[in-house]
Amino acid sequence: MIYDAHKYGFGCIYWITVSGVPVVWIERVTGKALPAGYTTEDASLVIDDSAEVGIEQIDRDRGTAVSLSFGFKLLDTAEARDWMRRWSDQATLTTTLTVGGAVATVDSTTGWPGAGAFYAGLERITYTGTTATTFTGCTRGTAGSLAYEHKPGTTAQIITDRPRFWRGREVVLWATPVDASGYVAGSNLTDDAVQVWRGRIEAGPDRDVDGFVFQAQSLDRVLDQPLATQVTGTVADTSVKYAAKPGTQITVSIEAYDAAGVQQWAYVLEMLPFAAYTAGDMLSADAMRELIIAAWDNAVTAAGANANLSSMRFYKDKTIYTTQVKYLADAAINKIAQFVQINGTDVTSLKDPILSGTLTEIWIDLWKSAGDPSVPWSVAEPAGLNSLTVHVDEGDPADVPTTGMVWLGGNGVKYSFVYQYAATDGFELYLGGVIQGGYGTAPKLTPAQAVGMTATVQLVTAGSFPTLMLTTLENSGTGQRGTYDTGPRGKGYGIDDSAIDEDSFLSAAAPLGSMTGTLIADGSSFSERLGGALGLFRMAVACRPDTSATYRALKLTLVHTSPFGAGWTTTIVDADLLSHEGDPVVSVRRADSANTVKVLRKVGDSEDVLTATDRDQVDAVGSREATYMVPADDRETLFAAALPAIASHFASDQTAQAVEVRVPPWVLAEVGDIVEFVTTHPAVWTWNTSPGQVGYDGPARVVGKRMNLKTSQVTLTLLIGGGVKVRALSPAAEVQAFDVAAAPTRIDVPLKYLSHFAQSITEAGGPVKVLHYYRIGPESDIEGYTISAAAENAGLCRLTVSAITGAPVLSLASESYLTLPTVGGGDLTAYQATFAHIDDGTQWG
Amino acid sequence: MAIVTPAGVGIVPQWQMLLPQMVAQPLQTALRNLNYLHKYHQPALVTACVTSDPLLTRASEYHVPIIPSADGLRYTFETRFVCSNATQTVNVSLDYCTTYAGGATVWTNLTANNVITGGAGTLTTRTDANLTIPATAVALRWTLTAPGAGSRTDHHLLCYPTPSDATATAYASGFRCFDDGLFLDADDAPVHTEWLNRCKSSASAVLRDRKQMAFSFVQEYRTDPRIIRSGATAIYSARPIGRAFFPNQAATATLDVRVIAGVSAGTTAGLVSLAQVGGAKTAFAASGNIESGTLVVQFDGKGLLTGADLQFSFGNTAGNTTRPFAIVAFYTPGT
Repeated sequence: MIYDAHKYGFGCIYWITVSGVPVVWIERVTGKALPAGYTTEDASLVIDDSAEVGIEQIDRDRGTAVSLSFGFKLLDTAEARDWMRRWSDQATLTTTLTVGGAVATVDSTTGWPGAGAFYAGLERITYTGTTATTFTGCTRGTAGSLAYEHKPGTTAQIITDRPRFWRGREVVLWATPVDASGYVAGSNLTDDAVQVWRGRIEAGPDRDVDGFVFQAQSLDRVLDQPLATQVTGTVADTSVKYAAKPGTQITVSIEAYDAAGVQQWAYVLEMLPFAAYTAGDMLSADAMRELIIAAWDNAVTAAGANANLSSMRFYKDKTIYTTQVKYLADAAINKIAQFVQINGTDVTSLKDPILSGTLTEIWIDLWKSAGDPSVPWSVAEPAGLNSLTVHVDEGDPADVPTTGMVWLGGNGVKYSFVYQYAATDGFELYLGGVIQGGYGTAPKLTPAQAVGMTATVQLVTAGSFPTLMLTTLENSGTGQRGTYDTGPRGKGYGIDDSAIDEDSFLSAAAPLGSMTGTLIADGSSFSERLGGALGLFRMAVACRPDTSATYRALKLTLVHTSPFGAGWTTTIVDADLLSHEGDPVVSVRRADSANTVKVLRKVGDSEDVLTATDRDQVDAVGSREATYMVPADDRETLFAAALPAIASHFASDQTAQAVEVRVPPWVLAEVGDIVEFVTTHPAVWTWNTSPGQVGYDGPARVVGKRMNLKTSQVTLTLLIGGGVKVRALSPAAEVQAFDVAAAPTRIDVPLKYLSHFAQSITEAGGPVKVLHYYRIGPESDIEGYTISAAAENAGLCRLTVSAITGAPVLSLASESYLTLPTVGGGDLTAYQATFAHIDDGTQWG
Repeated sequence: MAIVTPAGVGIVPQWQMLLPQMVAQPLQTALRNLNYLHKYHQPALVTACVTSDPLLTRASEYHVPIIPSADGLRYTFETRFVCSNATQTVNVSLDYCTTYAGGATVWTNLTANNVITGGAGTLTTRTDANLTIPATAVALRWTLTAPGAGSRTDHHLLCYPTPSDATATAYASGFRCFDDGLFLDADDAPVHTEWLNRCKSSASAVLRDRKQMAFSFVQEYRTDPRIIRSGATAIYSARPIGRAFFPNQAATATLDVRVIAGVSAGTTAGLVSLAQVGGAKTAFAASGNIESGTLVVQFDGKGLLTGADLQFSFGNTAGNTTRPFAIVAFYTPGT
């Protein structure tokens, strides 16, 4: 790790990348090879004026990190001036540039170079050629930017040769080690480099006396930004509509005969009533009937039949519309024969000649069976409010899901509906199968009342809570951010999965990991939608290093925030504390813990409340209330999980204590980690039963970490469980492979146990004994192995066996497991003592 | 060491689940409940109110497709019928097969017993306990002989698992029992994650392995059964709707459907179907063999009333007869 070298006189050189700008902005030029996609390094970066960066503290009730902003300046160099200047080339998109499109069509490319790059919104796109109105050979999302769909009518329709704006661009602050002589080792700038901070530009560039100043907010602060992505409009009408089929052809043959069977006249009328429309245009049944009547009139005229046939009229017979045509009364006519085809299918209902008698009109059935959706013009308008046609005034109708929710009204009066079908026609949105919700809390709207109302279509996401969180983070409508970039644009922040530790979300344990919920996009933020669930179950989303990733990449990570946990990533002792700037351990006043907790389950119109109260505390100090809103699907599941969670809040929050400790940067503690904190500092409240002893020796949860960029000093905020002693289950690792069953020299277990076994060996200062047992009985507690080393090998954790106790025989069929016993009834190490054993007083057994 | 199967599900009080107050064996209680679940989770593999002519004076047989446990469990059978005359002797024979071929099926006998009925017109229940059905079985056959005098009306067939106590073996279903020795015998033993995971994995294995019959139509297997479809023209019609309840289950489920139906002649494809009213439908051939498929149902209602309306339909081709013998659907929790 880069900061280990600080012990030996090394320092850091800082540099930043800004998405879409192919320049490395650095404190001084190194001459090293730059990351792919970056062409220049410019010695213009100044970070000395920045406050500390990192996470000040996790808001445990809202499940989000209170992260610090990063301020930086780019000096007034020629390179910086060139990027801050106004663009010189400009064009306007005339058609939509899809997310994968390689050709951008614009009004004109006059003045643009034959190859180069342009900016559309936050995206940088390179091109290899031009025509008069196109950029060809486009490569999307270059220089760290992300590809989006760009449409005419949006801010991205204006494309330029320089960024039009910087706000929203991602900034990554990097640190590369530099030795005491100022030499940067390696051939690449990224050799041994790590990411220090990651976020988005919030303000800037602002002109300063010697450069350009920017302010950026951490990536996890994005989660507080509202997702204002509803589609709104006005209800234009409420008639049921159907997709037009322009090729629909109706053929009617009518023949008239006298009593002797001699034909008096005959006409074949061909009609294409919807030919003027394009597929997908939405038409009401009334409109279709009018079009058919018009087509009939035209066909009659074209056939020269006006002397014998009148116009067509539709009549409703119960729920079916049929047509009536009058013919010229003529005493000679005795029979009428008709033949009707729709799209080549014979639908004639009266094939036998109709005896005229006094008949002067005939019925022509332009349908075959009642309710046939292929002939919607025969269907009568159903009663009540069944459909909505909305003229969209904000949002893109194409973003509307095919089924979902829509609200009508506003100004305090809202009617909710679900719809079963959606179609778009330009900026007109059609919603079919509409059913009013609200469980009777609102009066039923009539079609006439609905017309003219404001309609707000809700974007709905359903799934397990890990899925809901990942979808809200990744959704961009492009399908390119990651596995969870699904559905139409507007459900999420469009964060690339390279900036998200998906595994941390997907491995979330029950109840949060297994519970399902539904999110309705109502202009709220991630925190507002999901923060209640995270807070209730003491979890949070924070931007922290993925310690197993290249460059310790900073990613949004789901972390625990309870003060409890087993095992630890590192140990902090008095010798690690930095005291040159004052007291290295400072007690932090925490917000008063709640003694009345409300869990509000809210999905659409469905709402339930669970209230739990710590009566003793309320009696003593009065009610202090906390509310967690959880969009869970099932009331019983949520409340069954919430009760023990609330009880855990009551039990632990009264005694938990937070302290800030200043440590050097090589202390490997990240937000969400459990560390072992061993201190004699009196600032830490002690639960030692020996009078006069101060300090603390036990686990602590890291809930904050910030760094001074000039001094590299790190301040950790630790949450200590106070008097609560907790032990967790000991890890048990399933044996995956071995060399010799009866006398193995190596045993492979899943890689996730590597840190556990490695930590065990480190804490013990040498080999440790592990217990072997079969998952299927009979089990034994006297057989085991002594493990001298643990290391990664081919995707597994390989344990080196130095001794064997008893006569265990490894078996995959019998499902061999290894786990960590104690020795002689006592814990081997302090690390081991964090796990529960039969005889160590935890009383699990 | 002892593998204890408690007589009832042990309930850990909520206060014992709070970490600070954890004082008494919540994990052991949960693990022992696994052994209980293994022995006493007894969903019906077959439950069918049969269709036949009433007042039979002949022998009858019923063929029922099954999806038995992968663990080769013991099952208990109950057969219910009514005889018009008192103290009649009816032989109830139970068979299974591993390959079904209609009338040419080779059956393996599980048991055959003469049953002496009670008073005239009273319901007789014949129970045959603890008969092992191998995991490879695909169908069961009930055969009832004619009473010596009077008539017999068949009512109901039932088959449910009655496993023996769990043992320390690897069950094909994935179930692993809990041995108290894990806790009590160990000197320095850790209380570890695998035990906690075992609670979930073994419980899940039992629930998923023992499929439950959620819908059944079974009628007498003969050339001229009571319900057929025939005629000069093709007719396709539905039987009355039945409501299947899935208490407290999730929003959807995938039912495993098995069908035995035959035709007098002609094509067989798509002649039998099972559908959710207003939902999905799956069609099957009346091939004379066991036809398999799935049906995804969307539940409505909540809590104990969670359920779905199911309906089977069948039809005939012109001039031919279709005979449905068994249309059954199995529910697997979590699917």
